Amino acid sequence: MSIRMFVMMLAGLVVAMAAAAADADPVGDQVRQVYDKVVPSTVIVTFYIQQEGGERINAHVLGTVITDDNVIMFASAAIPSQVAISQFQDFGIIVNEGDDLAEYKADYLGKDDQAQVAFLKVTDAKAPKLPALVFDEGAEVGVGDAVVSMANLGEPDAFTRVVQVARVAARIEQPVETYLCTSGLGSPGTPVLTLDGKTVGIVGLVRLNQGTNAQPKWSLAQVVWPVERFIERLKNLPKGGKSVRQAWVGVHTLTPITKELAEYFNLGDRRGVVVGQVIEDSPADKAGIKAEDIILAVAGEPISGTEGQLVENFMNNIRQRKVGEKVPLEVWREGKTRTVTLALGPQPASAAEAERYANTQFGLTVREMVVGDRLARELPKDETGVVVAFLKPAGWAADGGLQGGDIIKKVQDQDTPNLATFKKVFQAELKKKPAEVVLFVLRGKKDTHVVRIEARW
Amino acid sequence: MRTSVLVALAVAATAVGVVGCSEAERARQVYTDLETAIKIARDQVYPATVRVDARREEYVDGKKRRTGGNGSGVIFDEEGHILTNFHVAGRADELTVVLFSKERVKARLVGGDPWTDLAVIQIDLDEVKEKGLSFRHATFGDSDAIQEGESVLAIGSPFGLSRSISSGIISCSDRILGSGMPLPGGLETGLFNTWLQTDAAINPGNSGGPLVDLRGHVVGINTRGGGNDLSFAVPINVAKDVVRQILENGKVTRSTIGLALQPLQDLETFFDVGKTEGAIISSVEPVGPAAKAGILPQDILIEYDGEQVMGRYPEQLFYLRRRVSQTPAGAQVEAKIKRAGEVRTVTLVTEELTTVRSEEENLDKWGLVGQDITERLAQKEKLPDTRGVYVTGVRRGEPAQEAGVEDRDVILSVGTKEITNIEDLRREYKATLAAKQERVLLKVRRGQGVVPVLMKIDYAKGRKPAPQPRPKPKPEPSAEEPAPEKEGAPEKEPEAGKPPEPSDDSGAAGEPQASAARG
Repeated sequence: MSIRMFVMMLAGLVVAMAAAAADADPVGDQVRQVYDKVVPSTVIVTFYIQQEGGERINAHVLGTVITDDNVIMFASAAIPSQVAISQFQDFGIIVNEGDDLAEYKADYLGKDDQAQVAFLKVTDAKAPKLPALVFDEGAEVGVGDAVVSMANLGEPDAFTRVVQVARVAARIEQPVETYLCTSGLGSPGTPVLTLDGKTVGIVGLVRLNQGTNAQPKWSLAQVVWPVERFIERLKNLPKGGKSVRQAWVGVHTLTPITKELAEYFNLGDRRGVVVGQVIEDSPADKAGIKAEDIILAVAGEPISGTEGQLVENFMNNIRQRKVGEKVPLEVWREGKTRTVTLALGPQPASAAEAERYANTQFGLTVREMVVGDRLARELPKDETGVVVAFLKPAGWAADGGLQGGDIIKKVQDQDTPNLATFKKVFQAELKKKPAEVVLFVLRGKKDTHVVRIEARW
Repeated sequence: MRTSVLVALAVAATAVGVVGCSEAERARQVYTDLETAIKIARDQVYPATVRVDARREEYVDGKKRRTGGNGSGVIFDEEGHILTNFHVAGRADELTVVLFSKERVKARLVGGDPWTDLAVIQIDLDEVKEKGLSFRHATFGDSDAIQEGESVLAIGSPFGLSRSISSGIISCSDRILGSGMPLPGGLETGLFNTWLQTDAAINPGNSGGPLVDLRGHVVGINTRGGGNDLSFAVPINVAKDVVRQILENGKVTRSTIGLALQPLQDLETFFDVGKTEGAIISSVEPVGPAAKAGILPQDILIEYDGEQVMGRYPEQLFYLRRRVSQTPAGAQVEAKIKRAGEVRTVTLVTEELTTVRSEEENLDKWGLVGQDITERLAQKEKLPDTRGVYVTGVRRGEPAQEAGVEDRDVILSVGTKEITNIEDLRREYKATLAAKQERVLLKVRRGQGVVPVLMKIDYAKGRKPAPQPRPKPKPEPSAEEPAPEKEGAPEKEPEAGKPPEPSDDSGAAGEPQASAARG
């Protein structure tokens, strides 16, 4: 059964319920009221993803109007971090106006992956003022409650809104409080309401183990993402397309202090996480945190939870804080506890956010190296260069044997430690219209290669 | 010699006989002559070809298991020495061969060389004498003289079917496949030898058997196959040197100078060298001989040990690599490099080339199997150095695995004691056992991070019960591979003072490597 058929059946079911038994079915009545309340505040967010190969893909997701000046909220999952921000283009919204669909231009404001929300603002002067949906802070749901959420059909069906009704099946506390439901919820990022019309959250995504410990089945599950998880973000919207930087300590390879380890280290009932690696130049590094330190508490809040939760709980505690916040960490080292205060840094730029330089003639896009590259490839601090982010198939660079992920260290025997230098050197060389461009690259973790690109001017 | 005379006579007879014949008659005559030649060649080598049955102990997921398989081999001297594949017999602890007469006799491993996938075993001559048996031995030919198009026969026991023969021609006489087809367990192979490529069928079980020319001489050892009429044999001239070294020293020694090369291709202008001058040094191992001699990546190697280096094409690098490998270990070798147009002479001190594997040690009570970190392993796994013990297996439900030790972790310490090699670990392991230490803290390195793991050891349990055979996906059914023996039997503690059985990663089964031909 296709999703569309499924959705249409559901929609049909709801309509049938409402029509046939308006009096006898108070739930149906309530669902219809909620549907009528929410639909005018929903829009279709449209944008294009410019593929590096040249293709442009149109994407549509359901969004919600959240302010009186037409700010639209949608799921941050629609803007995956693996894709460079510059590749998301031509944002707009589509609204139903009578029998027609009207499209209005919008600016992308930014996203917050921690809160799972992204925003855009309608800038089109011709756009009508759309009714905003207000989120009810403090409204609660519990196991067994019915909740209503929204989805939509595709283009031939004029993006018809579809209501979904589910019941709360469980309250999940770790690592963040969410609610799992009995059946499918609507599209991620769309509002979730109770039957009495309170907007209690949005549809979120969390990774849950829906198998057993012996045979784990980790998957992304749709949950009710409570208002508290993103309300701060609504009050303080991002600007200029920048992703909100999460707070960051700079520790890596974390292992939980299990009950056994706690006993071994004489930590009693305390729990914590062991730092396996301190990222160079990170806040943790600057504050003197060392590998093998055990972090017991963050700002006086002890790290707690079951063995499987400790690491995620610690990271979540940090992520909920603001960049720049001075946080005392209680750290155990060689039998003694001490307090190390550090200023939380911003999460370093991801590969997608890293600055890029593209040369279409060579069919080559390079980007600045990011902290994630060093971690994934176990590179020392002094390893520099720019990373090959894209190669046009059968382009000059690809034909020369350059590979995606190669770190270019030299161009024509001149060091290219960062993007600015690379650009300068590369462009200066190209002015000479050389028959060949010779690169010195690092491939994988340690192997170096010489790559010769023939320029077919 | 006699055969070639016979063949020559047959050909001469044909030449005389065909005068004035019709096309059809001539074709029939040629066919008959070929058939005669094949039969003569067959009779030369058939009686010297054996089926090899190998048994060995290996660790799978940290569990010691006995496994077995079979392949082929060829007797090459009167002392009953047999040449076969390393992946058939190289790590076996129990060997039986089936002679041409269908009699079974015991054999012993003399030595093996994973790099060329060759091993030498020897028939138990006492048993041969006792049983009143006899055997013939084959003659080695000259694989350098063989040419594309020459007819060859592959003899052996495909899928355990003894005394099988298939025929074809030499498709390529000096194929270079390079690395990328490791033996089971990650042992590298094929870096230092060329291959005879043939369309004679080579199937699992043919491994180790002879590839024979129509003079009845062994020109190769059938090693890789797997369909599509692409089969590969190790040239006998490569094997001759391996055999000599194994018979003399029990092993084959090779050297490394700790650098990687890449062909010059069209980079001569950039590096300011002649078109056929030298090869590019693409990578230099951080602490290897090249690094010690001051060689840098992007230097051009133009001379090695008094010999000019030609490295314009990938194929040429093979010969240089082989040349380097054949330099005695520890030798001082002069090399010339060109850097920024300037020629420098450097002195390299070669080091012995290691394999990625070393003897595995089973720490039974911990449910963990580990090994020393060889130079080669450190290079391959990009480890910072060779300190510590490399974990090759953890048994499910036992202390190490329960505490979170993973395959490929490097054990750095036990409690407060630093671990530099397997001997340190064995000593600390025994000390914790003697003290009946119930909690043992290991520090392991995983990636760039350090992870503490606390193992809980229960001494009250005493000898642990036989582990439950857990459902495991069945391996691919393979006609020649009997089910592992004694699976799930209790492991034996290694006896004090006695090294544990070498484990092996190479499939003793006569399974040629998949033959995704490259090069």
